Amino acid sequence: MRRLYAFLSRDFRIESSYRFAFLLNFSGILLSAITFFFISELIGEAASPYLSEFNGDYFSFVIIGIAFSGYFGVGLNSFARTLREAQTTGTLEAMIMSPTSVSSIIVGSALWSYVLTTIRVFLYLLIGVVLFTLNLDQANYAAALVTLILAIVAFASIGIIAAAVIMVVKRGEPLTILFGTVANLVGGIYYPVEILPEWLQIISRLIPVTYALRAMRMALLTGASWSVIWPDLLALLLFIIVLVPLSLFAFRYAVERARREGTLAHF
Amino acid sequence: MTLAISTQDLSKAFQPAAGWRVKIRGDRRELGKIAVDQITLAVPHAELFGLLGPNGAGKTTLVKMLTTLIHPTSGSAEVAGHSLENSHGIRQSVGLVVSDERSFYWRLSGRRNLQFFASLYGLHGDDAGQRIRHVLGQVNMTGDADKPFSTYSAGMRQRLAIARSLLHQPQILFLDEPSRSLDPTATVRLHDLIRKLVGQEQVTIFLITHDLLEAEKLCDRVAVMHQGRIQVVGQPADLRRRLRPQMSYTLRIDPLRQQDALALASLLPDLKSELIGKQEQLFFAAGEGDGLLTAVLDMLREMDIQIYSVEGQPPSLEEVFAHYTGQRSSGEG
Repeated sequence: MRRLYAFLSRDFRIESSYRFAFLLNFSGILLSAITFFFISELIGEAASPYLSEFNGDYFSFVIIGIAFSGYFGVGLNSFARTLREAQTTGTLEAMIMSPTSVSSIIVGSALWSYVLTTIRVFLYLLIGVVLFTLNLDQANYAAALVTLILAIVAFASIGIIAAAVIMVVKRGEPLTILFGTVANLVGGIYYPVEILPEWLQIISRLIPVTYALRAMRMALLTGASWSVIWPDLLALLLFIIVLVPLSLFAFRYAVERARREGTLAHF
Repeated sequence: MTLAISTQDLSKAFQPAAGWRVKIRGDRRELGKIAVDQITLAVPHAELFGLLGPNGAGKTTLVKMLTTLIHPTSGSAEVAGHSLENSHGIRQSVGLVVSDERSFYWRLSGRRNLQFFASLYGLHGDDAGQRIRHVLGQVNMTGDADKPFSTYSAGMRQRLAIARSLLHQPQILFLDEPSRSLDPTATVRLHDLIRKLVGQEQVTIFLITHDLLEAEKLCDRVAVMHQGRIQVVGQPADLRRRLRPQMSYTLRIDPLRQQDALALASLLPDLKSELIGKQEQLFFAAGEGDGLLTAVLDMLREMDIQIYSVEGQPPSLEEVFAHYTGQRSSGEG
């Protein structure tokens, strides 16, 4: 735990040394919330039939989609990005020389992104409740928390696989960009997946974002009980059962291969 | 004699990048580049051992294998009593200093950098604080520790890299060209520090360099590596004696008369001369201890020629490699 704290402390100090960017990062949340508020004003009641299972309010629907999809973006990109950064700045080799395992280094390096995302989610929800129409009075926070944990593990597994690919081929960004774009299109971040054509809905069922966002919205907006959201949680669990071992295997293989080829710190 | 490092036929061959079709068919005809070729070495505890060689000789690959950053293709090695398979044990026992000054966080101070890396070695809180103060004192950086790393000179960055490598009190320190890009003053300070680590702290130093003079000044023993193989191992003075290096001399004298020039040419067939103003410069090569320089100076005195200066240049690394490898070094690689 103390090693993980050291990573957090390092990244907080580096991040906060860029003060302007640090503040800008959070001020963007307010602007984004305002933008989607006006879009929801424009849409008005027209979207309600599609959003009835989430209490019919587009602003609430989209603000939760944007906030929590941040975890998907972080899961997908942060492991690979921090690995690349450490390779290009030359710090990876210095870290690897310590008895701390490569997997701990990668996880530790990605932690700060998760903390930032959590702060962003909190700010989105706070702004939504205090300034706009987001209503969390009925929220089932326990269900939301379980959904969040399952979602983070599932998303991170995909990110670790991406990092493994980058470690071997040195170029994995197109893969994460493609995956991120597909998630934006079919994951139900900005609109319910039910408005998509059937063939896109089939694709949406193949990614964990779809299940995570639906369960999260149900838990936060309607206070849905476990009996309502269990199919989505089960889907997330299945993703975890498949993706976690796969990501660990892929990462271990990539590290061994990089050690064999002498390219661990190459970029 | 306790051995800090021992290797037995340690080799590393890098496979060439192959296309997918070749990979799928398993049809690899190329064996790959042999970077390290059957190295057998023994480095005793608390020795300052130098590994000398041109770029591309395989020095860094050898060190990366000994520090478990790269797996060997064949052979075996023990580092600080651990086999290469025990990477955790080796990493707890060794430190590595590379010449890459980017390996720190430039926005953080030297102390903050050390705090982070100390935590990776399991050092936290007061223990870490004490150890950091100690290593900063060792490298004489206590006063600069709280300045941002980005403001450090090349010499300070290198000293901080050494401080980092000492955090976990390693038994063996691998230094990969530590004086590269340092000015002469910083180099002298670095050499003093290296000597102190061996003399006072009993740390075994494995120094990679392509600077013959640095190796001669610092090391108890040196190995000359070329094209992946160790060509020779021994004490620097012994190797020089065996090499009998040719020094290049430049003498500044009064201009020679024709008959004097002819007499001198009979002694020095490769003699070259150049008239600069009212003085003449003579250029010739003479072996260390072969008496040729003394003979030339005696002859000039007998001719009653005024000698203004005598300068001697040691043999270049190229010449040393040419001697031990039978060919000129191939340069970058």
